[in-house]
Amino acid sequence: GSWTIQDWTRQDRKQTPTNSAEMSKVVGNDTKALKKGDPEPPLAPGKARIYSMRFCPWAERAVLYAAAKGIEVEVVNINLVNKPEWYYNKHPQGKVPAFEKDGKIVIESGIIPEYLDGLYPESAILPTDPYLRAQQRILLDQVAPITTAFYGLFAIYREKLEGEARDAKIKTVEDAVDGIEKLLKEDYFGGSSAGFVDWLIFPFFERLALLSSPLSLPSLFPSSRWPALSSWFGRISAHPAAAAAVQPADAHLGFIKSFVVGGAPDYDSGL
Amino acid sequence: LKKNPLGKVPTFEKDGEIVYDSAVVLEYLDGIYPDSAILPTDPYLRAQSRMLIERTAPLASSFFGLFIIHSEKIEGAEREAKIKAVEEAIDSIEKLITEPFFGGNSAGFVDYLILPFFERVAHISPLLSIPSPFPSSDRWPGLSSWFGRCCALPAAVAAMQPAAYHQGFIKTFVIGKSADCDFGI
Repeated sequence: GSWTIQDWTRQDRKQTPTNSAEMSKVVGNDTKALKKGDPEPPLAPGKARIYSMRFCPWAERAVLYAAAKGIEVEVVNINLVNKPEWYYNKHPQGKVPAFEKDGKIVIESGIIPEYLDGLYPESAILPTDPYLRAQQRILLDQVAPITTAFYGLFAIYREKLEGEARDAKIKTVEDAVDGIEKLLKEDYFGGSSAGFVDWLIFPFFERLALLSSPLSLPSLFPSSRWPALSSWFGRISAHPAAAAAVQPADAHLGFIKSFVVGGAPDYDSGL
Repeated sequence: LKKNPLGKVPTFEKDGEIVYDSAVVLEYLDGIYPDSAILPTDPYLRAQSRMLIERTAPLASSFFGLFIIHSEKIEGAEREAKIKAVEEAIDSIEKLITEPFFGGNSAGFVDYLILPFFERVAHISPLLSIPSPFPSSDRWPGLSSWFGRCCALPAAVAAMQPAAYHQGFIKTFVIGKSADCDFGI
């Protein structure tokens, strides 16, 4: 069959999650981005917070992981071109994501998940078995090409690339997806349920799916060219944790359009 | 290549289970030999170790530029750029050094993961006649004394090749061609 962008919008997804109570434990994902001059919101002891930006794939990893764990966490969105001065106390370069609880701050989307599993071991997603844990880390490394390749799609959009330049960027994406298709042996990269690799890679496939039609890519994602990944994408998109983090297609496309033209992106697109 | 599809080292094998990539191997070793664990078990201290490794990444990515200069006899602006990248990476890590080790009172995860890169910079610098090579107590006092302490560790003595062998290897190493991996044996 064929899939359309509409199949993956939040509208449809709202009807499918079986445990919407878990969605509400992540609060604040749809709040306006704080900017220079905005005061730092106080954070009570024992409360957890993720500093994010609604359309950043790296920050989305942290929101997804927290949602998948079912932990209570507040999301504070940051305006990345006009950052609040206090945000540099959270991340030395003012990037997202950052995680804060009880005065301890952890940065890097590849480090926050393990930290969350350490703080909340009862909902651990990374395996405790050393070999299985190592396998997940190795697998993340093997799927990493999509995290760099997808920026080529932004470049096509921004620079209105044509011909060979455009084809080269598309080939980089397709080669990455081809490689990852071969690695998916079960329902999820984590096995029978969504795991570490699934959550850390999902934001990039989400964006590939979002941009496939608008950019008229020769092979859309999802499609029968990549049967395992396409089934996986449907499965994981319907997961309640995805609903907690993913933005509706029109808001997301609105952000990307504002992002590629340069100047100040619309971090509050859709709000 | 059956052990590691990327054909790279290090690769660790025990009881038929194979793990590769240096940081992953270290965590795996701690997992199967927990009595001698080096990574902290406290989640925050563990995360701090990992964040510190991220901040040293510029050296891991730039050090090979020195090998390229030597192997391909690079001159001029390109040579200067590669050397500058390494020096700036070391400058940034100098700001992070804690005494006596990154791991605190004893060498830890970060110390063992980054030592090999400093070791190689130290070996190749004289071969390239770099003006202020590492170690240099003028430019990098913290890291230079850290390096001396690390080289005296039993683990370092066990793992490091004698300087003459290492420099011999580097001299035979030409990118894309075979090198004398058995130099000194």
